[in-house]
Amino acid sequence: MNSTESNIESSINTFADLEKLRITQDFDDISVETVYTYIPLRKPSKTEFFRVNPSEDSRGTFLFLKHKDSTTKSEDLYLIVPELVSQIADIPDVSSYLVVTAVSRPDNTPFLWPVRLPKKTSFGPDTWAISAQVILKKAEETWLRKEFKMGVQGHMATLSKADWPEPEFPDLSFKEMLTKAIPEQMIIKDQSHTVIRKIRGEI
Amino acid sequence: MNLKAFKEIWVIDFEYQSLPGENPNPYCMVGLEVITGKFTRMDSTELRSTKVPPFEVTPENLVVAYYAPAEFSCFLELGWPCPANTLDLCAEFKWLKSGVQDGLRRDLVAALKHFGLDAVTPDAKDEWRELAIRGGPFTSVEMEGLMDYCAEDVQATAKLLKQMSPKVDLNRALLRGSYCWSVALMERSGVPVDTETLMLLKGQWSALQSGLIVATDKWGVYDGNTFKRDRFETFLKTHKLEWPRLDSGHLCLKEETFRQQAKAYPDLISPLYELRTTLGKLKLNSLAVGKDGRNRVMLSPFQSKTGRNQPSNSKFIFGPATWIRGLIKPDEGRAIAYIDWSQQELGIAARLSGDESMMEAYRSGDPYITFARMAGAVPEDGTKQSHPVERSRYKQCMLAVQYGMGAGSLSLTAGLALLDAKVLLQAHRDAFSDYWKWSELIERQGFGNGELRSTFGWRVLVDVDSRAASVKNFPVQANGAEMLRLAIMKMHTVGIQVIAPVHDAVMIEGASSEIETHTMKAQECMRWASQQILPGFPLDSDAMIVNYPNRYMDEDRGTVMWNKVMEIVGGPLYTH
Repeated sequence: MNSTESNIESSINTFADLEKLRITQDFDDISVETVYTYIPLRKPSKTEFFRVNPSEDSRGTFLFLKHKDSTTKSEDLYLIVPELVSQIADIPDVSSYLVVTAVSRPDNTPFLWPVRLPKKTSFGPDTWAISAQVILKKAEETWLRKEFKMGVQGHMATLSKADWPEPEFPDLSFKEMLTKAIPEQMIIKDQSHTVIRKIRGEI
Repeated sequence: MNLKAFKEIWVIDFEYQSLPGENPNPYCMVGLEVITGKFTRMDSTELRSTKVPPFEVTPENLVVAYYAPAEFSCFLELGWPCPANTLDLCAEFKWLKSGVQDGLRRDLVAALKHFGLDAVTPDAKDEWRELAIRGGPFTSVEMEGLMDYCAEDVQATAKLLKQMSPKVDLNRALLRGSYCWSVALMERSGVPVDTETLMLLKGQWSALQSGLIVATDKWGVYDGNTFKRDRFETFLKTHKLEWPRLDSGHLCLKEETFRQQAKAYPDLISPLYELRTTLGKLKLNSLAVGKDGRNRVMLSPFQSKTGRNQPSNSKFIFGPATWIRGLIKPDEGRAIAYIDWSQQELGIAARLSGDESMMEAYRSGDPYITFARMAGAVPEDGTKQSHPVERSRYKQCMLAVQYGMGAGSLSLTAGLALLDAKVLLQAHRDAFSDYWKWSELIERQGFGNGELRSTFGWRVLVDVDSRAASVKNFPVQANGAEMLRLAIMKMHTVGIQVIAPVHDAVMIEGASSEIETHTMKAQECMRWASQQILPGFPLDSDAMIVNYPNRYMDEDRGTVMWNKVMEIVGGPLYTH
């Protein structure tokens, strides 16, 4: 049969009121806030493009002890409170670090990047630390990724030519980020800290 | 609007004979006007003696039914007019429970149970259903019994109406109700089938199965008619093909996995996939074809959680393996047209998300090469012809995003290294950042509010067990379904004979001399419907017209298998 045989005319005044039935598809009526429960303290990986927040409020200089656990093989940074420095002069691998706020592509995932400050060495300039500083400055302006090159004894940067949007840094103070990045057990406040006793052979 | 706005509210039900592929044969009808409590009963003789129902179907009145397309198929059989307002409680029960995976049916008994109402027991229903299937002539006792049973269903439906009405979004429910008439019209039209070739296939089904295995399985994966897992494993090893595995370590042989792998390895896996689908799913005897050679099935509107029609795969000509669509053939003097929106899902996503770049890609006519250009993978003057490989990659990526795939699935589908797939997906995020933000908002609102709604109100309930990818995809799918419903209703108002809804397409039929005009009108209706969902962003459509004595064919996916089958059974080959 042909549809024209049927009396359809009466039914379709429905279309006259379509406008009244419309529901927005914007899906914008839930406002959400991202809450970071943890922000990693780490170096950028060689595959990730990242940016560094150039603001002075988003960075700070600290002393860290770099300790490699012989069992787990993990390399951890322990924050040392300034008052303790004179008492742990015998502990190796304690250095000054500039901790900066960074985010990586594509989701502006935040992390704190501890950049070791150059030291005086008997072998000449501390090229690893110096080249990291250069990359840090560059990452304040452009998306890039960093990898180390043994051949040049330093880090190299790959700059993105893409037209990516500017970074969005988390709406947190630097202190709040540090609190989320460095748990209590990773802060050395006195000489009884497990890692100090371990290095000294006391346990 | 609420129910009080209506002068009369008629809850109706028919008892009728419904044979596979045939139009219904109504035996009786009972109506209950719920405001006054007035009943009306008509037996088959009374039904056929009038061209109007025993109540007014004017805009002041409402007709209520459970699965209204069935009642309307009887209206059409009797030559009765279309009611101005329809509330289909079946559609509304599906709406209320959309997205709830409880494994329960959505029939009247289930709806009554859900609302704690007494239901005619399924056993008692079966008894009367069997009588209806047996058909007349009925004794007067049988007819009275049928009408009593019909009246019980009507009373149960009236109780259900009372329970459901506070929960129903009435204005939008009436829009859905209007579609039920269109469904009845399509179900009544049916799709013309080349019955001669169908009989040939049915007659040689056993020989065809063996012949197809011999013609396709050059690797000996089958033993007789049985797919052998161990042989398939050896085949994969021999050809060094990667294949997903289950936690148990066994090969994953789900249809979806096969489908994905067929795309990744078109030469080796695709023929086996088509063969498995044909042997496993194609039940030629289930294909519902009436004596007049038309495939008629219950289209089951609103059956999927996105509100799409979900007719039985085995009964519907568009259900089983793609090549079987070659059986669609217009009668002498007639023609059919298959009309589908161009890139409907992409168009919906682009407009609803407000992503200008995606809209630009859609408008360009070739969104894939445009995306590749945006990503810097091809030069500004690059084309489909000059950069086919790049275009194919970016096409796979765009489709992967639409289907909610991650880098792992994309790498498998497109045959890419994982890192390359990641880079492609990142390029999509960069090119269409507003789309990604919108997609994120959908997920948040779905999981946050526990439901999502499409432009004209179809909804899905979302809970912790919902898949994030499905939730994000809901607006595109549900709005696509709504667009199709509007287009079909509009086509019916302008006198186009729509014979089947097919996902994002329709098939229409008309006299050969008129088919081009009807096709153009149908395309106008589709353009109009797209603008109702996507204001200011009309979607175009593509049409394929088939005149008698030619047959319809899905040329990309069906021709090779069709011809392979026809060579075996000695049937008509398809040439472009």
